[in-house]
Amino acid sequence: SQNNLDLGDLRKLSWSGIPKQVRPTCWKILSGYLPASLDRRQPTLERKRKEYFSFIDQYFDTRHQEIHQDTFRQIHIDIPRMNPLIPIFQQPVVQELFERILYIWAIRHPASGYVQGINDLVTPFFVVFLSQYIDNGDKYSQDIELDNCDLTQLPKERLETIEADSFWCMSKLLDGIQDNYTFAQPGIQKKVNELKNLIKRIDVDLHNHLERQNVEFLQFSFRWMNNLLTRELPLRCTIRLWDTYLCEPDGFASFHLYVCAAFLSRFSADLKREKDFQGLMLLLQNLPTHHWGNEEIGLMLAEAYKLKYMFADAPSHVKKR
Amino acid sequence: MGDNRQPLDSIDATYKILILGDSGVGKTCTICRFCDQKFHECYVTSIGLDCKQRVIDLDGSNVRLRVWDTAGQERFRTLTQSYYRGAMGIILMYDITNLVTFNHITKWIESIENMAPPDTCTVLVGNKCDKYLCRAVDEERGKKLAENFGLDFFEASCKSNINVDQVFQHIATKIKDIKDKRAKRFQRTASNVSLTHWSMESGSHETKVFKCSC
Repeated sequence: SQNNLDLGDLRKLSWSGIPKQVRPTCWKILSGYLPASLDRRQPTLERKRKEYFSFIDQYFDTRHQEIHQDTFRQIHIDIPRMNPLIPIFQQPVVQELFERILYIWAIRHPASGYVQGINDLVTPFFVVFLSQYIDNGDKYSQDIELDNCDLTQLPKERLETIEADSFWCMSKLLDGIQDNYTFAQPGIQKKVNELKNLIKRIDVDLHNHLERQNVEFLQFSFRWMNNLLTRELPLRCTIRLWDTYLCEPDGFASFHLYVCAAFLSRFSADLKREKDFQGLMLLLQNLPTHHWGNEEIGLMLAEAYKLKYMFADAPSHVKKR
Repeated sequence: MGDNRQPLDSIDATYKILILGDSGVGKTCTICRFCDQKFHECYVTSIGLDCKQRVIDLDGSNVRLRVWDTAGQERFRTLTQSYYRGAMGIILMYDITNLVTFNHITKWIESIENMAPPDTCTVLVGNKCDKYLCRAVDEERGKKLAENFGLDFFEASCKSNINVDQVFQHIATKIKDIKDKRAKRFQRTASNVSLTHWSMESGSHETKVFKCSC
């Protein structure tokens, strides 16, 4: 019916990128935060936002207690170091908002707690949800313009809405990848190994080239898994990437692996030109993506999708030598 | 990684150095100061491992210092500990304006003793000594702790470029000493072995000479 959105249709449509104007709502639905049924959306939002602020009342004061102070200290020193190139992240009101989101999440998920890198996973939600309230960019541009945005101009209630929605959506995301952040980070270890095996299957020359120069996959792809490529791509690209991740079943875990493989292969020729460890690490730690936009991400996603079809249902393709 | 590329054949040795310590004490900053000769006020948090290198002159030979930057947070310890194994030198760092980072040093030393090779050369560094007005750890306390564990000690500031080059130069010299000593010891043992060989099989003229490969 009119009031019931078909989630399958939404996923199909959104896979290739979501227009800026509808992205905030689509992301909330695709995350599983907002119900597909139109009637239930407003009551759900109100209930969840209230719930988040009741968590703050309940837990935020515990941050200076002895058992929690290490967690809070870590969050507190990490936040000022986030996104140093984007001015709004230097605003105290934004830093405090991030502090609350991360602290509440950490305290409610003691198995992992706060791990550096989780902070980067809040940024895309925050920026996308903020974008519906700011209007200083090019209307037709797909990029979100944040350069001259003063958040003290934004009504308090709006900022609170953004905060609660960001919290719930990042919680949903992290539910799917919690083993990346538990003790010894087994999810990451596993994915790094899978990435190595996958590259061996699809680009054996690159695999051998890295091996000959003693470059280990753990040395460069640990961060790719821990921060979901947010450190390797411009923010606008991460946002576009997440349009697709949110549509893929298990997008932030298993599909991300194929994206990492496609990402590495994309630089295969450049890497093969580097003849020593030094040159390889230098390139791998700063892959030239600063000029990337939707087109590059689209190509990478198409390649990842192809890999998924080749290997996902036939895991022995990857395991076999 | 530092951009000072040198043709491979002019490098006489490569020393692997690890930099450890709590988050926010200035590890990345110190590496950038040493390898790139630059200082930035703000760095993003390090995740996993990063690597930079610089070639220095050590008694007339070109030694490449390959420095591994690590993430300070406890959760990453499993990953970083796998890198202790091949380390020849470790720079263990705290922030002189932050007592917590100093109090954690014994914990760090414990994990180094468990995981790193026994003849790894470790240096304790109290960073941010330019901020003496906010000092929370006296220089004497740092010295004392280092003495207790048999480590060398420096206070440094990567912001004001105090003692940064000296720390690396010192650790490189120590590594070279350790390597030289080990080579000598090895040679001595090796010559003993060949002597015993000789006396035990006195009829044979086949002497085995063992030479150190490093």
